[in-house]
Amino acid sequence: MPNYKRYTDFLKDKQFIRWQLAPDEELEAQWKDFIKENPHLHIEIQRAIDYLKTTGLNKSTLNEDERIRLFNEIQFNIKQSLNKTKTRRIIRLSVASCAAIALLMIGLNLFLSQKNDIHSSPEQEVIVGSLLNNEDIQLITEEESLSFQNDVQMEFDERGKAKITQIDREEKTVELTKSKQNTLIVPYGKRSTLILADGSKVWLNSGSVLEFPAQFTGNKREVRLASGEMYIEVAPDKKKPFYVHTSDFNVKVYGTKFNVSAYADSQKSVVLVEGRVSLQTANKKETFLAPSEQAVFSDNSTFHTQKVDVNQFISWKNGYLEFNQTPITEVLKQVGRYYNLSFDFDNDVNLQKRTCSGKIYLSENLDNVMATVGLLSSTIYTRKENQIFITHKPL
Amino acid sequence: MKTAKEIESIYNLYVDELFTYGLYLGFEREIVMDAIQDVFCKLSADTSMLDNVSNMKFYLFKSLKNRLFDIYRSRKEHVPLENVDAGREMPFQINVNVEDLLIEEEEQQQIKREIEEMLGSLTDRQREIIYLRYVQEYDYPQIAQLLNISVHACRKLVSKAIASLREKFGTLVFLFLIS
Repeated sequence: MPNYKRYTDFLKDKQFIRWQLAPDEELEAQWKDFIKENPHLHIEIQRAIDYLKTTGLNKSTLNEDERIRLFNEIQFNIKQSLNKTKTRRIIRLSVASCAAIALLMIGLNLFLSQKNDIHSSPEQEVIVGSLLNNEDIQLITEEESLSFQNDVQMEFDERGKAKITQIDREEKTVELTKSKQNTLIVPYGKRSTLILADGSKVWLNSGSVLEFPAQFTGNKREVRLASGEMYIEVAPDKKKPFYVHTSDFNVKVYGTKFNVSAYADSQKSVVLVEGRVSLQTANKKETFLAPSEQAVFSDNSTFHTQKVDVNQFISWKNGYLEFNQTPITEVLKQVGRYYNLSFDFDNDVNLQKRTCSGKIYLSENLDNVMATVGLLSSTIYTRKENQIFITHKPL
Repeated sequence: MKTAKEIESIYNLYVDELFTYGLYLGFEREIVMDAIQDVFCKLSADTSMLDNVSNMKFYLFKSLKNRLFDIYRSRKEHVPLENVDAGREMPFQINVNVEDLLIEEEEQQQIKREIEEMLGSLTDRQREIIYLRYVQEYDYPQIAQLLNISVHACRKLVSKAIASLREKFGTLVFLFLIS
């Protein structure tokens, strides 16, 4: 008789597979008895069943690019048929020409958002933004403080050695003291990725501060996102749970993918991509998240959870922002962080009620990006040196 | 009429399973993507009954299968007539994924072998019905629509598959020992 310990032992067993894929009365009865006699294995059995029926036999190989491309094509075709023009299959475009689709979509969005804005008065309103001075990325360790002008990639190994690669620069190796805390400061306008000592992968968005040890000693892995936004793929390790601390709540996981946003000037939230996480606030109340769910932190220290389209929250790590009827103020905040721009939203003008839908590719060229924002929200953008002005598009 | 937002959430919920089903039916990625595009365009254009669709996933599976079957048939156009009927038997191959198991590669391969051996002993038709019944968990009337056969024929097909696996892989003596 096989010695069942873990769920994978069941997956190796033909009788188990047969029970799941082609059950007859005999098998049902036998496995029912088996579970009764071995209640401690019930969870492992359930896990084996879950694996087999989802990831095992039903794993999708549709990748992110294909997923986006297909959706864009669908949306495009639907809108086109709405516009009463002849529906015509668009020629399948290669991944490389995604940008072209984006442009088409921008055009359509422009058309749609104009319709929405018919009631707003075209009086002269303006949102003003200013380009701020560039700051360096800083890594502060026990011994020294290093600064980098360009976006960096850092990789820590198990012995606490760090390999640091700056875009367009030579690679650099730094020795870090065991288990001492390090701080990585990514200012607005910059981004970083790092691989922690346990192999977990972190993407840090602009305006983020992360504290982390060079090595994870002890029975927990802990990092602290003092501010900003991170996307993390936690390396699985059942024995050492991984904690992300923020000023308002803690996220506990074993191995999973999720996004934490903790900017002071936006709603703080956690979006789960894969696996399972638990969230804890100061009052010790625990909230669990399922994949594709977002938990928004509110001022009274509770979470509000909702189903979301995950992509809108993690697209930044792939170099674009995705919006769906997002207020222009939020769009400008996100663009502003990325390019280190500060926008002034003090006076409440109609312009701020506009929304954006579509994708913005975060290219090197700010003018291109602002022009896209203009198209998506039907506004006009002008730039005078370090000042940016956003105004209504004349009708 | 579905709003753009509804279409998007339906897309996000089901596109992966639709895509997988299309691949299992033996079509190339691009063809499956084209077919999915058609399914969603139809979904958005269909104004009448859609709000009453209780099982959206089933509806999508069914339109995808119909669309793919049309493609399959149009490809068979130049095949002699006697083979067209056999064309009802579309291939069905299930991809066994073990890479997400957090174990040694050797162990992963062992699991893959066990499952593939079992699935491999079935006919395409049997594999598809087992997949629809026990992985997708559709009921017999739904499967009957997907396979375009009667409910009775569905039941017969499933019990035949079960019996065949029992015959080939059942180790009764061993199982009695457990119980």
